[in-house]
Amino acid sequence: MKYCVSWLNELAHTHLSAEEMAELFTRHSFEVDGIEKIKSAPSGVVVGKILDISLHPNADKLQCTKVTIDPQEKEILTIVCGAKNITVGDIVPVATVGTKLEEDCLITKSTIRGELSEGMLCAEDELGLGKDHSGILQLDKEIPIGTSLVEVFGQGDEVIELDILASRGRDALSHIGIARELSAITGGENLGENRGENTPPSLSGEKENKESEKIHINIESKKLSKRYMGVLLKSVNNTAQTPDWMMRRLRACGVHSINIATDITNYVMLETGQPLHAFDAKKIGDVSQKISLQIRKGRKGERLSLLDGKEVEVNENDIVIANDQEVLALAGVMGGKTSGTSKETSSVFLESAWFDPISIRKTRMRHKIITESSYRFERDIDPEGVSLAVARAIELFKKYAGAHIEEEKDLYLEKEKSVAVILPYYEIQSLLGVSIPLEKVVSILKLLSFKVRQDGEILSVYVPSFRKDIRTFQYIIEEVGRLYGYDHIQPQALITPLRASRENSSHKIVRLMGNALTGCGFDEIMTYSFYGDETVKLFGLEKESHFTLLNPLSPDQKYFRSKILPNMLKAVPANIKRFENINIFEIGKVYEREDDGSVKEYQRLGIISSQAKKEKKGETLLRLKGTIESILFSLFGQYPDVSPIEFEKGLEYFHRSQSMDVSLDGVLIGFVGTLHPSITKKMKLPEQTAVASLDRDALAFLFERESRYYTPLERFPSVFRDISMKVPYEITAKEVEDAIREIIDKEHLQSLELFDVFEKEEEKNFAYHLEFNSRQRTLTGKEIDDSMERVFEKLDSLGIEIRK
Amino acid sequence: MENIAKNIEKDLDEVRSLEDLERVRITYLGRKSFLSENLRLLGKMTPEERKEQGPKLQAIKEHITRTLDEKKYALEQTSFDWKKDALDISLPGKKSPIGHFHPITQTIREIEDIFISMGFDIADGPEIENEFYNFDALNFPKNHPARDMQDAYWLSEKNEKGEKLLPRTHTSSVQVRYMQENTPPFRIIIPGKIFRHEPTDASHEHTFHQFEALVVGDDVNVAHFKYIAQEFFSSFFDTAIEIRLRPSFFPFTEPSFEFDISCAVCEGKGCSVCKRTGWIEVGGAGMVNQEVFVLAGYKENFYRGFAWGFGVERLAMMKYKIDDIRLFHSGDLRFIRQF
Repeated sequence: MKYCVSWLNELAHTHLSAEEMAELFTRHSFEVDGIEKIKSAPSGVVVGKILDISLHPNADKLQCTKVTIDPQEKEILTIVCGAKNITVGDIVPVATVGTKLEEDCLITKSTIRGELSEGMLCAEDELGLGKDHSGILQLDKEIPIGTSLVEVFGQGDEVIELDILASRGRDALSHIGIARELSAITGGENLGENRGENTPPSLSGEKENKESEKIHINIESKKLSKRYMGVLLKSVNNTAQTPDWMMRRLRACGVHSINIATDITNYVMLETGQPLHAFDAKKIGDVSQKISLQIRKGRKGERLSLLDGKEVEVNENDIVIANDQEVLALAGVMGGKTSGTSKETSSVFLESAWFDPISIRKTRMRHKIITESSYRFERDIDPEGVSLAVARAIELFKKYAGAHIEEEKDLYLEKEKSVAVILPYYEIQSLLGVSIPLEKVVSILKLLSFKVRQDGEILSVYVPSFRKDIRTFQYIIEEVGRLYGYDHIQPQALITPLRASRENSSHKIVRLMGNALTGCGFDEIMTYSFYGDETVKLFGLEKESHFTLLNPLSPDQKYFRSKILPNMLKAVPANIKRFENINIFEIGKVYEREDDGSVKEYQRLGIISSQAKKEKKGETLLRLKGTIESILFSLFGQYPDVSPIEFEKGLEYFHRSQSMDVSLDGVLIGFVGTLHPSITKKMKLPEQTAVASLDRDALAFLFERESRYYTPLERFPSVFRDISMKVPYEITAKEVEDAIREIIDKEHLQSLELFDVFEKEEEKNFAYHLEFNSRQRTLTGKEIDDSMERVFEKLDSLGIEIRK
Repeated sequence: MENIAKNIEKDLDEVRSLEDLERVRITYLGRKSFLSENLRLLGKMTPEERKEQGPKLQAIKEHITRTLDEKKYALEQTSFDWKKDALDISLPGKKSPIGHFHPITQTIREIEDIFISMGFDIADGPEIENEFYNFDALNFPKNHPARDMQDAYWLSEKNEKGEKLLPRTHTSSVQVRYMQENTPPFRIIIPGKIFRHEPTDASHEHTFHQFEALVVGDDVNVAHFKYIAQEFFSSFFDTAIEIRLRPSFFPFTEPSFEFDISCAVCEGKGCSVCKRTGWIEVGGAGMVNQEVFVLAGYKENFYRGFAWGFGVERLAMMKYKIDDIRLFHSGDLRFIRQF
């Protein structure tokens, strides 16, 4: 909200510049969104009247005007002007010869395209009064010709824009509220003392629940409106000129002057925070007999033309003001067009009320209308302030519009409980970590209009109605702390027993896997947790096992991912164009919806290896498999077991004959494989793409269980033998290995390594290194030869041909 | 005897090969050499003579040995043909592939390590959260705008208990979960991914990372928060950082603060990074609202604690001068490989 700096200074009895205020508010109250300077109009600019307009003979875009700045309208100036928004009779600002507009713009008598010009008609921005450059500034017809513009717009001012915290809408969306802050920050005077001419009365002891004969108000439920005040004002002169000071303040706060009745309601709202609405009383009821209004929920089918010309259809979520015939206003948001005030208005029905914040919010959201009024009602205005605003408005109506009060009605259905909080003084230091003198505490609270009763070091603090945000003593301490200044709190070491951090295995394994993968040349990426129908379909996933966003930002981000790989794969094509081969991984959560609706979250480690260049069949996959084997061996001291993947639901995106389950120590930890060929094709991935998905929890479980012990180093020399063989296609390397291990004494076979694979058509050839060793003795050549002989026999029986 | 040293110098000058050197060695140190003969005589001397002659002879022997070794080393050095073996060392090295961690992971690890060094534990919680832990338990009123569909994502499905679900909008959702399982005193950090219903542009993302720190005990106050925040940021930016607290409002803390750090770039003098204010806003903080303790099952006004949170992306963007937040989730390796 925008605040007029001179207004705040007047209310708080301070003399601060906008910059000084900004510094104080930043540290003690609210964030400052900006400072604006309103310059005073340049001297030399006076009010003039356009007497004649003719086309410029030599320029299509220019006009020649005859203007007078002489109250007697005798002296006439010729001025060339380019703006199109002027007509004869307009009252406009005229910069006379010799006026300095901007630093370098001196108005001189000159000839423009052959026509004499003795001055300049000005737009708002040219005067430095605002940003408007749409045309010449139109002034009120009532302003006497020849008046200096400085007199019309007054001296310059400053505007400070504050970002009011959500909890402080009740008190701080008003000049009084912010002036109170200022008083409390500067340790100045209590607000309301030494009341100036333009400042509001401080109300107390005002009679509530006023009865009235002519005004009948019916509130459907106190939930909709706790309090409604209506005042019937008569003999209103709505053509009266709004006083300069009020106009200036409205302008500073970004509010346009409309007519005196509307200007007063706006002014009082800016001052007190209570939105008011002025109805033309004659348009809502019979002024001499009865004005009867209902405050109720909207009904289906009811329509209303708003002040801004927009037509809305209301429903039961809106609060409306209606008479017996029609809906008159969208309560708290905007008035209706037909019941609004105009220059002809002579009777005003002034409304000051409390409306349910939640309803107001729903209404303004559904109808997409934000007004100064809805903004405040939505933040729960102070029902006690309703009458203060009325008193202030009446005072202004009487003084500036010649009005008198016909009748006043106050329906106060529910009062809020007043709050008192017990604040033990020592709590301040124990929460803030700084010692604030007791007298200072009391004085801050008093300046904020809290009433304080002191009983030794126990304070009873009575919270004013406009501070509904205050609930417990911690809230009071916050007030004291911020106004005293958080800068006074010195950092202080936290003294606690030294305790070493505990790192859980899940966290640890993620770090270790990440370290190992980057060590093997894998880059880490992060992708979104969402995908759309297309992905679900392509990967053959079940929609039902996904969680769906109710309000996705786009349809392709509709589901919470249940797999880590799809979104990662989407990053492959663009990267492969630039980098020939890529190795990437992502560690992130996937989410599954169980049949009973419960949420299962798993942390997955997705790995992709992809090469643009053609490779031997299986090369990419075996390299990825090897990387994973090496990493697992380094972390767990053993290699994983693999077996053909079990195609449960949700794994159909793997290639049928090139994919495997990976387990370690009997625990399934994930899958490695290539993708279903149709996915590779549709996603335009290189054929040489291998993927893996590992489960963090399984790895963490194994990691926790892991214990490794040292094996003594061998003391006797090893003996090496190689075998080379031709193996029928259907026999796997694992089967050959198992057969060899079955024959040779486990104690003696130190290692078995497949060091060469050669495949052609229906035939494959394996070559193995065998290392023999015993812990007890040197093995004899004969022993080993015997073992080898038995291995040959065994392999032969499987149809394997040994190459000797 | 003294001449030996001079003679050997002269002889070595003529040595051209290792064979020449061996001949010189035999001449001076061989069994029949003058020195060896004299050494053999030592045994026949009186103890007094031996005491006088022994060390002398020994010194000469050492001198000769050293001189010969030096000559040998010099001969070996010149025997290589360095030129023939010359290699163009400007050829590129055969690189080992080493991968890159995502800058967010690097930032998170760095943050975690600093907190771990101050004795914090790391806690974790679900990313799909129910309404209770994300909002109710943090004292958000039922109609708080943060619950709006404009601000938060919501899920179509409810969980098995019929509770409304949403992708957590902050890591604060873990606060009450943790407190229900643990008894103070404790100090924890909660790093994690969070989601907001926010259309993306260069400075907005719907998916990003946050850090939450929570310290609860018998005697924890704002001054302690300031201290820990100052320690953390000074370590993170590797320069002395000051903390400035400004009033704010969060339903789950009371008092609540926005906290600024003194600009690490200009050291508070004012620059483009801090928009000439000398301060950079980095997050929100406050003393845990007693309502939250009560919702977690603690007695009211029994413990005190502070909570603070900040965005990881923002810190990473400051640290690496990244100007587009969307790069983090782009999967673009041209970006990742810079870190």
